[in-house]
Order: sequence, then C-alpha cells, then structure tokens
Amino acid sequence: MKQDIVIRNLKKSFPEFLLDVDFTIRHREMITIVGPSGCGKSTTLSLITGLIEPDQGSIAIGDEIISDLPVWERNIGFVFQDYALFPHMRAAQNIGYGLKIRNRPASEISEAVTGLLETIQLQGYESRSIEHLSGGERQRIALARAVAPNPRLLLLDEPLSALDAKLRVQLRKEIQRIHHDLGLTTLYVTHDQEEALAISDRIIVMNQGRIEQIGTPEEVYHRPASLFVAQFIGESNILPRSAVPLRPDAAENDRIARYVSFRPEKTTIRRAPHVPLSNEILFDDVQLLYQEFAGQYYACTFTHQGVQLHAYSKERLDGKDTYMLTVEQEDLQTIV
Amino acid sequence: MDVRSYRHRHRRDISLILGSAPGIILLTLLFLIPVGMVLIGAFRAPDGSLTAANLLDVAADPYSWRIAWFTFLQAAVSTLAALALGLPGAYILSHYQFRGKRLLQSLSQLPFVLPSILVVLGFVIFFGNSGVLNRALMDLFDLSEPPVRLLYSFKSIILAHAFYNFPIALSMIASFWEQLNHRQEYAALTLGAQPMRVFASVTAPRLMPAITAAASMIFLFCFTSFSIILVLGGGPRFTTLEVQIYQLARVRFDLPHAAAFALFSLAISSGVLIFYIRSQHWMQRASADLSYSLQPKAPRRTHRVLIMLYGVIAGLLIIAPLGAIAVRSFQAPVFRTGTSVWTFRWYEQLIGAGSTPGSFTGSSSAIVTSLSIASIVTLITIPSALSLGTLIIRLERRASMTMETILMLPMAISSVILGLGYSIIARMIPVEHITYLLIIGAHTVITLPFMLRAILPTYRTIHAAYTPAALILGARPFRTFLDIQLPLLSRAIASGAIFVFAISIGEMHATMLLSDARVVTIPILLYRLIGAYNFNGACALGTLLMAICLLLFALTNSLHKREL
Repeated sequence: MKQDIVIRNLKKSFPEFLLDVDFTIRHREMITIVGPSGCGKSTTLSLITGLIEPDQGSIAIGDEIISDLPVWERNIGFVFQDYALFPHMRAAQNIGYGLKIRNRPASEISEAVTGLLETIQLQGYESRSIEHLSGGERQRIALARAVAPNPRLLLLDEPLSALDAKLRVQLRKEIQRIHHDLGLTTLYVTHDQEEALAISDRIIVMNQGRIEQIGTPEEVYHRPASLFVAQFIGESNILPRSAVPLRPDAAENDRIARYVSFRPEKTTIRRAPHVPLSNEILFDDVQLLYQEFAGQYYACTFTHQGVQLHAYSKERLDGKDTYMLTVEQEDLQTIV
Repeated sequence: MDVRSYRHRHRRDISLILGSAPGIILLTLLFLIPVGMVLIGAFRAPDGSLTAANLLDVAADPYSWRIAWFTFLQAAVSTLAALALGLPGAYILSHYQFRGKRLLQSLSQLPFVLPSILVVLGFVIFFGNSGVLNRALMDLFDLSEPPVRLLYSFKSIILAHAFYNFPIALSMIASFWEQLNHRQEYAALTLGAQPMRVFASVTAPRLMPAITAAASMIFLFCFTSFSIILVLGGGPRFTTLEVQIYQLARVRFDLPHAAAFALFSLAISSGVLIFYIRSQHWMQRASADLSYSLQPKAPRRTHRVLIMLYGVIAGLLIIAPLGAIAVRSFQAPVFRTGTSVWTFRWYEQLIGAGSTPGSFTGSSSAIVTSLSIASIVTLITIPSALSLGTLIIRLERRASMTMETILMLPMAISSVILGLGYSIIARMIPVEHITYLLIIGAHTVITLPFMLRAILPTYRTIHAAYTPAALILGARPFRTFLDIQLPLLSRAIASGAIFVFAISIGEMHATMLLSDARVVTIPILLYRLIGAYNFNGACALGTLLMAICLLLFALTNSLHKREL
C-alpha cells in the first residue's frame, strides 16, 4: 500500500516569522529540507510530530489525517540533533522503549533490539550506558530507537551536525543504507547543501518560512528556480540580465528574466583576445581580482562591471595577462 | 477539521491545567491568603471597618521611624561585614586548588540549612560574658573581669549576621569569578598596568554583578532577620521591624498595628527584592559571555599561609560557636571548684530519664513534633513543586519571563510576616489543633522555593530534551512522567527534600508567631531554654538539632559527589 505523506497548507505564525509550507513526501522516498538556520526547517518537523500545533492546514499519511492526533499516537520516528537518548537507560532499553510503550512481549523486544544493533553495526552494545558512547555511536543508537517501532515516517533533524567531517560522510551513507534496507519514508533536515545533494531523492529548499523549490538534486542544482536557490545551492555566478550579452536566438522567457546565473565549473577562462563560438556568451570586460589554490584547481575571482565572477583554472594565472570569460548558452540559467 | 483540531488544543490545555492546579491551589491557600490577610489587617479597625488609622498611627510615631532606620542600618552594616569576610574567600576559592576546598564550597548552604537559633546559642556560649572565649582569656591573662563584652550589643548583631551570611557572598562571587576570562587581566598587564591597578580597573568592575547580587540577597536576609536580633539585641534599643511585629502580635495582641508595621517592612523588602532580581539578571547577562573558566592552581607558599589564615578565621567563626555548644552539652560544672566534669546528664534529662521538674518539660515531645512536621512538609512540597514546575516551564516558553524571580517572593516576605498572616487566620478559625496545620502550611510555603530551585534546572533540561523524545516514541504524558521525568529527577528531588526537611526542622520565626502552649518545636523550646538561662539544656537540645542538620548536610554532599 502506498502511503504518501501529504502536507497541505501548513501555516504557523510566530511574532517575527510566518511558516507556510505545502508538499508531499512520496512513499519510501528520502527527501531533504535544506535551508539556512531560521528558515523554518525544524519548525516544520515539530509540526509534523505534533510537538507544535499549526494555525492552519493538515498532515495526512495515506488516507489518514494525523494532524488531529496527539504526539504519542502519530507513530513517527524522530532523530534529534543532540540525540536525546535517555541517560538513565542502557542502549537496549533506549532502543526498545517505543516497543515497550506498545506493550510488546519482552522476548520480541530483545529480539528486535539485537536485530537493530546488528543493522547499525553495534552488535553486543545492549548493556552499554549512554554516557560511555561516542558521538557516532549515540547517533546510531538514536537512529535505531527511532526506527524500532516501525514508524510510518522517519524524521531526522540535522542528525550529523554534532559530528566531525569524516564521520559525517560515513554516517550519512549509513543512514541512506538503513533507509533503503528498512524501506522507510524519510524526511531529512540539514543546513548543509552538500549533504542534501549527496543523499536525497528529492530536495526541498526553504527560506524564510517558505518553500523556494522542490526537485531532484540535479534539478535544484542545474535549474535553480529562484535567486535564493541559485545562491544557496553550490557556488554561482549571478548577474542582472541586462549585464549579460544574450545570443540573438535566446528564448523569449530568458529575455524577460531578471537574473542570469551559471556555475563556475561551466565558465571557461580564455586568454584575450578570444572570438566566441556561435553558442558562447563572452564576457570580455573582466579583471582578475584574486586566485586561491584549492588543490585540484585554482579558484579565480574576476570582476565584471562591478560583479564578481568565479571560474576554475588548472594552472596559476598570470596577473599581467588579460582574460575573458565564456559560458555556453545552454549552461545559462535565467531567474525570473 | 478545524473544529476537531480546536478540540484537541483544548484537551491539551486541560492536561496542563490538571497538572499545575494542585500547585496553584496550594500556593493560593498557603501563601496569597495569609499575605492578603496581613494587607487587609493593616487597614482594619477593631470593629471590622476599613480605616487608615493603623498606618497613620505607625507613621506618626517617631519610634517607628527609629526602628525602621535601625533595621536598615544594621542590615547595611551586616551586609558590608559579610562581604568583607566573603570576598577574600571568593578569591581563594576561585583561584586555588587545595585540600578542604570542597568543604569550604559546601559552606554556601549553611545560611539556609543552619537554624538561626543555633547561631544565637553558639554566640551566647562562645562570646558570652562567662562564655568560652572570655573564660579562656581570663585564665590566660589572669583577669578578674571578662575582657570581651560583645553580647547584647550592636556588635554582636553584626558579627552574628556576618558569620551567618558570609558564605552567600563567598559562593556567589567565587562561582562568578571562576568563569571570568582572566586573559583580560593579562591584556591589562601587557598594557603596562600594575597588579593592584589591574584589580581596581579591570577585575573589580567585572565582579560587580556578582557582588551586587550577593549584597542585595544578604541585605534582604539581614533586614528580615529575627531571632538573632530578638536574643542578641536583647532590648528595645535594638528593635527591628520584624521584632516589633512579633512584639505587637504576640505580647500586646495588637494585630492591626502589627499588620501596619508588616506593610511597612514589606514595602522596603520588596524594593530590595526588585533590586536583587535586577542584579541577578545583570549577573546572568554578564555570565552569558563568560566562556573561559579559570584553572585553579596549587597556591604558592606565601599564599598558602594567607589561605590558612583565612581558613582559621572562617573556621573559628563557624566552628567555635557551634563546637562550644556541643562541648558544653557534655559538661557539668562542679560546685565550689569551678571546674567541670564530662556527663550525659543533660541528654538524660532531654529524653526524660532523670528529669528535673520544670526545666525540660516536653523536650521529647518537641523532638517528635519537629520531626513529624518536617516529614509532612517534605512530603507535601515534593508533589507541589513538581506540579508548579510544569507550569513554570510552560510559562517560561510562552512569555520569556524568568519565573524564578517569582519564586523569590516567599523569601522577600519574611517568615515573621507570613506567621502574622497565619495567626490572623488562626484567630478566625477556632478549631482545636488548627495550629499544627497552620505551622505545616507556613513551613510548606517557606520551603517550597527551595524544592523548586532544586528541581527546576534538571526539570528544564528534561523538558526540553527527553520529554519530546518519549512523546514521539508513543508514551502518553503520564507515562512519560513515570518513565522519564521521575527517574531523572530523583536525585534533584532527594537533595531538595533534604533541604526542605532541614529548613522546616530549624524554622522558628513563623512558628513563634503561631505556636501556642501545646505546639512546641525544637527551635521554640531552644528559645525558651535560652530565655530561661538553662544553657545546659539548650546546649544538649542544640547539639541534637545540630547533629540532625549535619547529617542532612552530609547527605546532600554525598548526593552531589555522586553526581560528579
């Protein structure tokens, strides 16, 4: 049975902030909400769990409207940013707590706990006390606790933000694996756009309480729907449309756009003079501002009519030379 | 659908109301009504009609103003003395690591746990004209007259207050000082300032929030101090507002004028309370950007001497008077020779074994009364504090007001005034044994803030982190309370309970205003024994009370140790 999670017109107002979202999470999908801090990501999660009540709107799983249910009847898994493992319980008791609440027999609980510990690769951790676990171990136990009662939806609120960079990459793969193995429907919240691009089936980009764009990672990256998305996801060169010499065959839609954006990796650095090809757009009036060595390339920053443009170069550029930048027409993205 | 979600919201608010109702009802009954009675009482004529005459009488009498001035003066001087005694200790505690540091730190609870009547007794035994100090000096220098004439003077009040309250200054300032980023001192030194200059221009200004907070709290305690003034002041010359209220209510049975004085005292202490809350906020704001914490180091030799000196002085002030009580309780003078022998005589009399008629009547019943009142009060405060705690945490989230400031209210409204309110009620309900209930009520109100203070910090973290986790996992609110909140709170509840028990067993002020011939608690009996110059009996009973407090004190310390 397909159980899409449908969030309709969910509104919640705060003194200085209005949250207004509407989206659907598809069955067994891994969807990510990404946005800067204070954009309403965590509030959205709290509304779905029922810890906060909306002013308006509904949340449904399949045909069942759950927004009227109290928190404890919604059967949603939640992994907190700081894990919130119960310090007075052992690892096994933490994982089994949701099952115990549901009055499952002790044998079934311990069997489930052992299985889950295996899934998260912490076999034999049953009687460990929480305070002696490392950050990564706590994170896994928290994940196991959340999925133990077989929730209809798993929510993860910045689950990796307290861990160091290497562990983050490792654990996000593991979350992905568990998501697939257990056939979960997962909503993942992060402020890290790279994380979002890496693990999601689809991404929801949020800003100031509103959804800016919903799409696959590729769509969001290559076809940003708004200025904010273009700026927030990856690095972008963004110019007012009037500053870009569009080709005569450009579509009508592109001509009325307010902004044009393109990625640094699609930008080619040319030594002047350069005659543009038919599908190329040429920025000839550029000055090299600075370049930084980034290992695989040099990240170069130019100015063009007072706007900074970024491009990557294989070699260190000579500051005495004059340069031009080109970008192909189809790599341009216009923003209304 | 909208209707349904409204119903749901409604249902949740009901659970909040159900949870906090017992606490609110209790607070109203036990606190607001008695205080209201005092306020109304101040405006009541003997025939029951409303009048401003009581207040006008008090305001027109120059004696009232003299009392008010003296109350203010002794509180101010006592505060300065306590600060002077506490500041060096705060420096030592925050800068050095040494043996006995934990003991010095745990002193901070002393003013709350140690019954004031014991301080009084200790001072009489130690500093009295024929006290330990004078006798030692007379023996040593072969004097015929006691050289230290301290008792029943302004000096003795100040000294007792300073001794009783300096641990507040010590601990409040030390914990703040510990977190001060002392790189700023380094910065001043590298800029060329001499150490003294650095202290005056960099350290002292930054300590001000903690100093003001400690000072206003100590001032409040000294302003409403009662038994120390009553006994050590010993006369109309050293009457404060609280003593005057007691005299009017219990000796002259003039409740309207007692209430008028209470109003007067309340006005001033509320002012001080507001000042305290302000400085408390100031301190919190200042602590917000203190991330650095000083690493205490072992003291250098010269400093070690100074630390020891401080330890000896502080120890002498605390241990000597209290120790004198304990020693004296095992001593009996031998007539003619002037020496004394070791004996259990006073304890035997205490439990009624070899009782001499008249002197010790009811001491064992006083012990039973005190213990049972303290137990009942402890049992009441636990659920009340849990109930009020839920409300406070919810309110804090809605309005960003610090509810803890409200909890300070029972501290500002002195126990004497609270006792006055209860005795006005007692007069209205002519039921036998009502006194017991009223004493329990008064003790509950006095101790409740301490229980709340013990559980609130833990309660808050549990509420923010663990409660939502349990609810989402499917536990209903009551199940969450049983499975998560209660086990995690158990230690905080235990340490709060010990505090409550200790305060209740030593509470004398409210009890003094309420107790009749039938209800006698340990502190009341102590007061009577001191009044009757039966110091042997007082010392035995005092030692017993002290032993109970010490036991409780050790218990909290072991609780804290396990936490670390």
